[in-house]
Amino acid sequence: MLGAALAAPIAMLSQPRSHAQSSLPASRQRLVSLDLLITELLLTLGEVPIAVANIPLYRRLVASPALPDSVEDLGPLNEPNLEFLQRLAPTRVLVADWQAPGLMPLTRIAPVLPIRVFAGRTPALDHCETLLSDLAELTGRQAEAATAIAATAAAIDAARTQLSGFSRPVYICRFNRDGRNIALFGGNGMLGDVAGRLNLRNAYKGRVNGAGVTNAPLSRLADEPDAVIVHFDRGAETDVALARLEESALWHALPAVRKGRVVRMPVIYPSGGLRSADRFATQIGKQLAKLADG
Amino acid sequence: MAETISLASTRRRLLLPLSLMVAAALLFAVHLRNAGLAAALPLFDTPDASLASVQLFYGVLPRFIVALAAGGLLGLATTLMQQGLGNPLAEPGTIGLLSTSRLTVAAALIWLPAFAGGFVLPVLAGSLIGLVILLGLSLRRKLSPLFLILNGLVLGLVCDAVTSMLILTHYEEIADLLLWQSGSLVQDNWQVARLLSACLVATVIIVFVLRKPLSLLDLDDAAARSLGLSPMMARIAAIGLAAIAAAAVTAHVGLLAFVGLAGAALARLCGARRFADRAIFSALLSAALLLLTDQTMQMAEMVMAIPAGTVTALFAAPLLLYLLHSGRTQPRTARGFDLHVPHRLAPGRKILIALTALSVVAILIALAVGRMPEGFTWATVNELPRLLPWRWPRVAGALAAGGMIALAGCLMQRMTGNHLASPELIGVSSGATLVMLPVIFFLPPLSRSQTMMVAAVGALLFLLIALRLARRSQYAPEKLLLTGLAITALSGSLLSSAVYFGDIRLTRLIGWLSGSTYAVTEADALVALCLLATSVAVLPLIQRWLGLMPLGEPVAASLGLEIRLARLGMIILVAVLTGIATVMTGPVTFIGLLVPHLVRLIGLRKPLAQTVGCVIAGATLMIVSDWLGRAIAFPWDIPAGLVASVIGAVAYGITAGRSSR
Repeated sequence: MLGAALAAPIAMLSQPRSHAQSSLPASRQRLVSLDLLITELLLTLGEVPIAVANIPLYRRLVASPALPDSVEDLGPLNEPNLEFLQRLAPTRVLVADWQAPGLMPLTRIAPVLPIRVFAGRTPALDHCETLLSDLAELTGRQAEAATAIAATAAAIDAARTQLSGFSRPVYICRFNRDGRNIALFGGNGMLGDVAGRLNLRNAYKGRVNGAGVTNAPLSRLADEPDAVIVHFDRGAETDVALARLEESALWHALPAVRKGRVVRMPVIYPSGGLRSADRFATQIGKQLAKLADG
Repeated sequence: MAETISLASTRRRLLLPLSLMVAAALLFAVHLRNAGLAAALPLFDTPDASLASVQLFYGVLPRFIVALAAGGLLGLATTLMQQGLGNPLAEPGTIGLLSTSRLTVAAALIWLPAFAGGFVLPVLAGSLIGLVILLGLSLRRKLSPLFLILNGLVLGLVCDAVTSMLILTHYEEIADLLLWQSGSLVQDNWQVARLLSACLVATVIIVFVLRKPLSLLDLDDAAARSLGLSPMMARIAAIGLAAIAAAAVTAHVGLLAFVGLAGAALARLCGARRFADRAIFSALLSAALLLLTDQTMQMAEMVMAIPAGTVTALFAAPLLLYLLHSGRTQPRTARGFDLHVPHRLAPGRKILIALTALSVVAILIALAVGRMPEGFTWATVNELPRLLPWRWPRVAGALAAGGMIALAGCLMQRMTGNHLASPELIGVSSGATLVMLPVIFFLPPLSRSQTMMVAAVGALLFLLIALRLARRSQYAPEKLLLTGLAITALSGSLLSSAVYFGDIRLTRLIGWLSGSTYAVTEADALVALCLLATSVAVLPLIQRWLGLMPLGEPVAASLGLEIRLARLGMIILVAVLTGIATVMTGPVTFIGLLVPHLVRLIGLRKPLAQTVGCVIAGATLMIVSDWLGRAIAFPWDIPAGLVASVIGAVAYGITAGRSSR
């Protein structure tokens, strides 16, 4: 069964369902999610899974929509606790396709649905919308999906209007603790894609990995002298990094730093779903608009 | 001194380091020109505030110096370590100190995230603690080099196991560790350059002052003592100095695997024999290698930043394999290494019965006791049918894998007469990893059976390579280990690049690498159990081989052993055992190396008794580890391989300590 599912993960999702259990009313579905993005999308739909893997990681990385306390923690993403899962008696387990080969035993508890979470060549937001619609069909929450998609589109539109006067290229990054290296976001990843939809010019045009991020030395930020640097606040780690950067001659020589074009904003999960995209668009719209005025 | 060497040969010997240096310097010049930076700053002027000159003065120039100083320090450290351990394949990483630093860095990142000291303090603390533990453990044997290496390997494996556990459980918080361990030379001020240069100068001075006693370590201990040297003091000095020099580099620029080892190996290739020559040459060569690597990588930086540390091994490992293959390095062999176990009086049969009883108890507990949110539960008869389908494949898989790996280790140690031989140390597991890496990242998700096939092919391929290389040297311990180290470094370097570029999918690979029984299916378990049973049934038939082979080929042949046949048979057996076990549960480190030693330490020394004892002890250790891994951190599942490493190390520490009293 898993083999067939692997062959066409998405096709299976979109099939009109004839199984008895899928036609259960939404509230009777006992779903389990083993992937952060899937968890985020389910919660966006208002469908609370009975259990997810690695709750601390979700709270740390994704945070919003908040995970209710009723949700049980199954442990590691790739090796959820089977005996506990069996006792919870889920009706369906949603996993990322890359996790699926290691999760064969789960098929004995409930049908396992592998979902292609990495967007590949598709822009991340389009991919998320497809996933959300598929999940909506699965849970019978099409209305909620439409609302969420419209809300994100509206947030992006609002931010784009806000930024209509903004023409500088933008680096979207996270500073490493050592103050010498950074992580740059771009390409088709969620952050890069949202930036594109806001008509922002991403100052970093190099290669990124499957999650839309790459590591680079700080000097990369000098490539576009006109750019604005947007960086994510990861608490203590960012404080340490900024303290280091304060001592760095290169940092102070960057045009963006000299002109005060550095923006610190709350961290967003870079492989997140619509809600993350929504937050990112609103955040960056507000912050950069301030910069354009000043 | 110079009078013993003719001028011409000195010149020839300097050719390689010089040409490498020139190549690196040329690249540096091209790099400067391409970047258009040379015009930005008249040399040695204070930089103005313009970006280009800041980048040149605070970025490019210090990075150049750091590459030279770090390379030089690593070259010196490696030569010192090799001198101290009397072993041409030692490097700071060999005795586990890099692993201890890695562990302290990971721990500091997780539990002291606001730690402003960065990586410097954790690394220094880790190296020092590691050094103290190591010397403490090894003092009993007066720091006998092989005992030191074995202790170092054990220490390193345990620390790596714990670090993997931390990476698995704290993947997010530990992102900076992954960056640090990829060894980036990027600079933005002169601090590191100044510090490392100072360290280099200090080390050079100390080595110069101590060159006499250090050179005497080339002799054996008795001869050195007769010349008025305390070999132990000289050894502590060499190892301590090497550890400090390596820690200084590691703390500031991260893990640069293999640079020093390649430098030292090349130094020998250049004909440097005496300690002073080797020190100078390997320092120069390592510096040139690191500079060359880093400058090459800078060329590619516009497209993608690749840290030097992730590629040094890519350059250096094939070089080492070539050197081994061409047979130009002649390591001192140290065959007769043994833990000198006193003979016990308890007969083998009683010990075996006790072991079997222990394993039965372990199996019963693992099947019946589990943990739920409310605590430990003893499964009732009604619950068992529901729970057993989860538990028995895991228990059976753990049993089979533990038994197979321990048996394979035991067979390899007997076949090669080398007490450090084991599937994981000669690179078989790393080979499987090497093949698995691209598969996980670049191919569409594979099914379990396809994944198993790929891993099996990898394991077999690398076992063949390792054994083929090792055969040329009659399985001398050093060559076997050096081959394994080269393959391990290669896969380690690929792994750290994958970690560097990768995303969360990597956790699956790390999970597999840690030896987990989670995904073992009923079919896997049954096949593995049958195979283990067959292998055990074969053991009485090859009893004679097992008894004679450790004596060395000439002796064994003169006693009428068909050596080629015996070796072929053993190799096939080891390959199948390792391959199947690795594929099923991932590379389970440690059991193959340690269980045979443990079994000997508890008194099973005859061929048949030792091999059977290994199977039972390995199986029991894995079952217990698997159960503990399931229970201690509910709902988290700690891979059995990691738990086994920790338990095995503790058992090793206790037994080794007691037996040498």
